[in-house]
Amino acid sequence: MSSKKKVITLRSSDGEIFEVEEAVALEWLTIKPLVESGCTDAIPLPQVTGNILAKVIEYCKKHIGASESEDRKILYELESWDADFIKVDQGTLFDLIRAADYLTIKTLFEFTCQTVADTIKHKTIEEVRHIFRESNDFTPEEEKEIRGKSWWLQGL
Amino acid sequence: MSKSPCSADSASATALNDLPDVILSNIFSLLTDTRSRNSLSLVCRKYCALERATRTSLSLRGNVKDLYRIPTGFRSVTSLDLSLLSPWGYDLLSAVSDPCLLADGLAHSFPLVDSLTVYVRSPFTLRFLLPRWPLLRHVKLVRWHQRPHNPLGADFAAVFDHCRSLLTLDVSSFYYYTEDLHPVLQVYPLAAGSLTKLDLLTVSFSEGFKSQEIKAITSACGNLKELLLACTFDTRYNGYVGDEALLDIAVNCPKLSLLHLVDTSSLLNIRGDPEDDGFTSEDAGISHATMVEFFSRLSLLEELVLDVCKNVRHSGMALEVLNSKCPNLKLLKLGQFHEVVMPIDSRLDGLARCHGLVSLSIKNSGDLTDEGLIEIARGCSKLAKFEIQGCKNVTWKGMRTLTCLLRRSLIDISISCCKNLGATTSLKSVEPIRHRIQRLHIDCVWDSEEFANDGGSLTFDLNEVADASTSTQQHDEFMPCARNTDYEDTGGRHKKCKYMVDLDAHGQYSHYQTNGNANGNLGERWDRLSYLSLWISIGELLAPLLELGLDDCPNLEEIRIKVEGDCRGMNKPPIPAFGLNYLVGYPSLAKLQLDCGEVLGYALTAPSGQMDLTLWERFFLNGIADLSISTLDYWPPQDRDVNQRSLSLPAAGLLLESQTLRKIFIHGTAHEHFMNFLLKIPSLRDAQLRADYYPAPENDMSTEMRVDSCSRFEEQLNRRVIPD
Repeated sequence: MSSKKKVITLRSSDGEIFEVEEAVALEWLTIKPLVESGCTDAIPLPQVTGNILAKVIEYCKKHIGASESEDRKILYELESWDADFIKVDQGTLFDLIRAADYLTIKTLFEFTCQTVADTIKHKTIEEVRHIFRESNDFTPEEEKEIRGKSWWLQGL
Repeated sequence: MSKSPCSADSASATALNDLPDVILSNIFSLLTDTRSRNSLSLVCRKYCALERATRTSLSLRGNVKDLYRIPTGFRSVTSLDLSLLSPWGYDLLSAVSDPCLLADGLAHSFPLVDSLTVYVRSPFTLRFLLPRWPLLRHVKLVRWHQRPHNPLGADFAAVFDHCRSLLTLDVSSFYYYTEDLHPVLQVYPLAAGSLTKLDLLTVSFSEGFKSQEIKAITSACGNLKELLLACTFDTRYNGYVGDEALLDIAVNCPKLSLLHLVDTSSLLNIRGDPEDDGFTSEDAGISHATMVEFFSRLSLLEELVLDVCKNVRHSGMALEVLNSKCPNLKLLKLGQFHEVVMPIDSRLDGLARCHGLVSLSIKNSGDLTDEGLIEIARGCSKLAKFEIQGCKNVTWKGMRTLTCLLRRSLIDISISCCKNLGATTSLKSVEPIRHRIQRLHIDCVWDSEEFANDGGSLTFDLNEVADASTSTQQHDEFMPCARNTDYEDTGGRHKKCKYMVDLDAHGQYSHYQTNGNANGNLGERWDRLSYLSLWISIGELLAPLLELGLDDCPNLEEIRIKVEGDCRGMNKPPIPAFGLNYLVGYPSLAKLQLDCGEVLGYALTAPSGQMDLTLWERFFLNGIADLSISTLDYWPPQDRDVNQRSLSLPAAGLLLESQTLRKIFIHGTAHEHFMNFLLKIPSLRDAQLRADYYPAPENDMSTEMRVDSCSRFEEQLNRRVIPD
């Protein structure tokens, strides 16, 4: 094996070309088989746009190796880096989730989902509707029924 | 405020409802609190369906008589808690006319349940309920009332009869006799043999499991991975746990990864005397050789609690073995272990060799000193949680160095019952991690005066300790914080100590000028503190707390206050309010637990010049209406002579002024007309009396709330429409 790190080429849906180290691409279970088979062409990723792919790569580069680190200092820094990384608008956040899901990147998927869950937490119904641009499609009867059921649950 | 999610560039981007259902389900399943989930289910039909499908854990409330209206649609629920239904403490099935119908209804609504929690007054309930879920794996029985006169083991026989796949049994809140369990385990050897967890940390015992019983239990349950057990280590008692019992456990259950052995006197949770010299008159019957063998055999241990309450001397040598024999050990609690470390030179010894520990609790270690504490902090460098209790030799200097050394990992600290660590000194000790600590317990012993006087005589030499440890080359990353510590005597009353202690996230030094009177650093925030627990002696006031610098806690959600002491013979406090209104300064505070359960007083008539319990309750609860909390757990003070823990008229009167309370749980009893006061709280959704202490009163005998009055109250409560 040569000491030179192998580089994988990726192509986003809008035709942008990205190069990542093999070690990073191997964390993406969706393309892992392709990488392992020694594919040298640019791997097309038709569901991920360039700007999102750039974010994904940024995250994975930062995290590779660091997440398992025992060194408290590194973990501590990683934590604050993550907090900055995720300060994006909602559309980008959802696109990141979709990309992480599509590429099967477990760490990023869990992290982004948790971020959304934290956003919903302790919000009123109207707030949740507003955030996620959902509209109320219940009939008054249905709503009343659901409220009646919720009443039974401890922790209201 | 820019609340609109539709900024220009995200208008066309993905919205949450564009995400595939699988991903939405994933996000929803990360939400655990009931209220958020209930809101979610009311957003729209799709969310409702997804929410229902991902809700796996449910705790039912409401009156058991209304259970014909059991909510349906929660078909994914696997974990069901029936122990909090009203009327609290009554047998689930005795309250309804047709128990069969009720049991069927529950089984039909929640078909997938594999984990059940239920209040059991008699084995009859279990015989009805358990066959509905033949695949139950986890059962928790709850009973605070006295054990009825059934044949030995009747409750447990019902469980093992019907739950053939049982893996875990939790009876930590269940009133039974120790003799009930082991004969049943022997009758059902297959079921016993497949158990992986037994929680027998039952608070109701006076003596706990005898060594013979422990032997019988462990030999019947050879596959246990988790065992929690209340016992006695006092060698004067028949069946005490000593060398023999420890070896029985280790030999019979080699797969244990979690083991708690707790002396029953510790379960009473009574505060020890800080002036105590830390050594009990008796020694435990545990030898050094046995401990070594015990640890060697239990090599899979991850959690170990040995709360012995009798001296275990020279324990350091044995504890040293823990590191090599139990490499996975993460949590350790030691009660009454002495000489856990011998800080003679820079070498790490004893407990300090357990490098893998994440959580450590040291209780009543009679000879633990600041040097010992620092050695532990150097050795156990991964600690996220640290508890210290009843260690009289430890001072704030040792504690502060510990938090400083561990400031990248520590997020949870508890300091209690240590003679030299009152409120001021405890807060001083945790200062190095104030920006990241999440949970904190301190004693509200107002020691500022003492501390101020102490400020000038700082002769403690951290330089030496730090330099010595540098030579071990193990923790140099931590060293700067201790190495440059020096104390500058400027003379006079305002003696200052100058530290160079804080290494911020980027590895740069920052200077602290700390005033000897402990009021330094005002204005610094406790950014992540979410839970605060306080112990306070009766008659003391809360007010000084905020002056000590615990004033800026933007994320503090929950406070627990335990008041303890005997108010018989005490004079009227100088101020009519304990000081709950001071908590108003915590903007996120939503939950309050006010535990006056260990306050003793006169319930009926107090001698002249003294206050009876009603007036003490007024003292404690005064100001509660100022707080915008949503949940209150309240333990009324008690009169042991008449076995009464009851909410009084002034208490109910003070509570009803609250505008924000949604839930009130009173851990005691109350008269119906006092409870009816609570209906005046506009936002109240849930109020329950839970006599969850031993023995729960049989209130058929008193004039207080009974089943009927309880139902009447709840009907009135439920008739109201509460805004979201």
